[in-house]
Amino acid sequence: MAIVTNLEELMKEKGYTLVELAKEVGISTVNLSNIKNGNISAIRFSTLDEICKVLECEPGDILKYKEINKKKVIPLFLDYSGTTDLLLKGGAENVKKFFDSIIAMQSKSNYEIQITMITGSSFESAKSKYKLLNVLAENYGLPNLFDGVVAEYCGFIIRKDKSSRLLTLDTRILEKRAEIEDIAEQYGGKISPEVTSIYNISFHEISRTRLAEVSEQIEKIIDCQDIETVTYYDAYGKECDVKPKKHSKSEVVYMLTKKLKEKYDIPFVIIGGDSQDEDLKMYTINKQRMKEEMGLKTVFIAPTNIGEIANNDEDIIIGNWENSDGIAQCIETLSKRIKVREDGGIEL
Amino acid sequence: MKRYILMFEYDSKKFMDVNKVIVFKRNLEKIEEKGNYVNMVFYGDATNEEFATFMSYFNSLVGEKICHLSISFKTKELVIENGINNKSIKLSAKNAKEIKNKRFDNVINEYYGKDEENIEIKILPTKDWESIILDLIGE
Repeated sequence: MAIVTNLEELMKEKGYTLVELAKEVGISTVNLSNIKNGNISAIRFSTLDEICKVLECEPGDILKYKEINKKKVIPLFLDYSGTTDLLLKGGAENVKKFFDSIIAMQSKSNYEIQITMITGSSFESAKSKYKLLNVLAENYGLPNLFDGVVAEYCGFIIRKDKSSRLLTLDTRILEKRAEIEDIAEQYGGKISPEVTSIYNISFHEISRTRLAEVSEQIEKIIDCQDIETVTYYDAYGKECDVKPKKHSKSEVVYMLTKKLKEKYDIPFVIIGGDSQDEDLKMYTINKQRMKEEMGLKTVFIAPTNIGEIANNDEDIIIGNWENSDGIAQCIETLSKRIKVREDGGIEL
Repeated sequence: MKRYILMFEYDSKKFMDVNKVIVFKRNLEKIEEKGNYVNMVFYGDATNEEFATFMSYFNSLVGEKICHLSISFKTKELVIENGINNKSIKLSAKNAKEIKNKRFDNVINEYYGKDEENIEIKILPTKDWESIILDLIGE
């Protein structure tokens, strides 16, 4: 839903050009053009007052409320090694089964599933993974299935059209920048112009294995436990909040969901992974706040056995861990739980 | 018994196709049933990272390590299959020059060993790649 302007029609009706009206109202042509085209998020009462005076109309003649149908999307956040890697290892038949389960769920729900993968790989490796998974899905008739890949350690989200900086800038790490650069150089790599938090320092040309060694060394020169504040950057590189340092992967899921919620009609969020520690946190940390702040239900899917915790929460769905098609099974189970409402919306 | 080294120009759009890979696997079984080995080698302008990921994905989809190496024209390096990790060897000046003209014999023989008998290197087109291998056994 949105407020739209009806200024263009009114100007035509009253015989005003943009330049003439701007002059009469006392604002620049550029500003008036922005109002006319709806490229504004607010308008001063004084400006609205002047426009009404000149055009001899009511504010309601200029501003209208219009319902816009948002695209229907179910976000699916997947830990790469715990799900996608596992899926591929099951072979072509397994991937086919997964794609079929996605198509069936999309067909039942009338919502499009968009996967964001989260990987600890280097930027270049994440870019290759994303490219090839996209081709695989495109060839199967699912061109929008993989929305993006988060290169967790690098702090980047890679999408079809562009890659953007994702997370966190910590001032204390900035103070140690020279020392961090020295360490990176010792390992034959370099860091990006902005140093981010310990989990998101953007390194290039250092493999993931060595990255762990680099991180260890950096942890020695900055006391990570003491880092209390982190400035978060959204997927578009815009500074959006200052918060206590939190679990990196969970923050990624939370922030991206917030962004997606603004853009799409989202009924619920699916998170997937195979680890009780790192992956399950993406769900446990977000479940409550996504419900309270965004009104969204969150479910967790695990293609393998993640232990006792799953028995006490009906929103955790486990695939048959003895088979490699666990993730397709999870999607099928979830699909069965979907109820389509009369208004076209869905719920679990 | 023969070891076929099948050379294909890298084209992710053609090879990252689940349905084609399933057909390929069936055809591959027919060749292996006759006691032959098949290995695939890709060459082209992709980066080492992309080749490394591609080989890992392709082998996973096929269900066996059919592809051990790729040749990057971009970096003039031999990319060796090592999971999604990137492991590569710089080509000698002579080999780098040869691959430009699509002459791969030296590079392949150096990797698979000159002494191995019955190695046959074939440069194949990418069109219908999933079925073209049946030509090897005359089907």
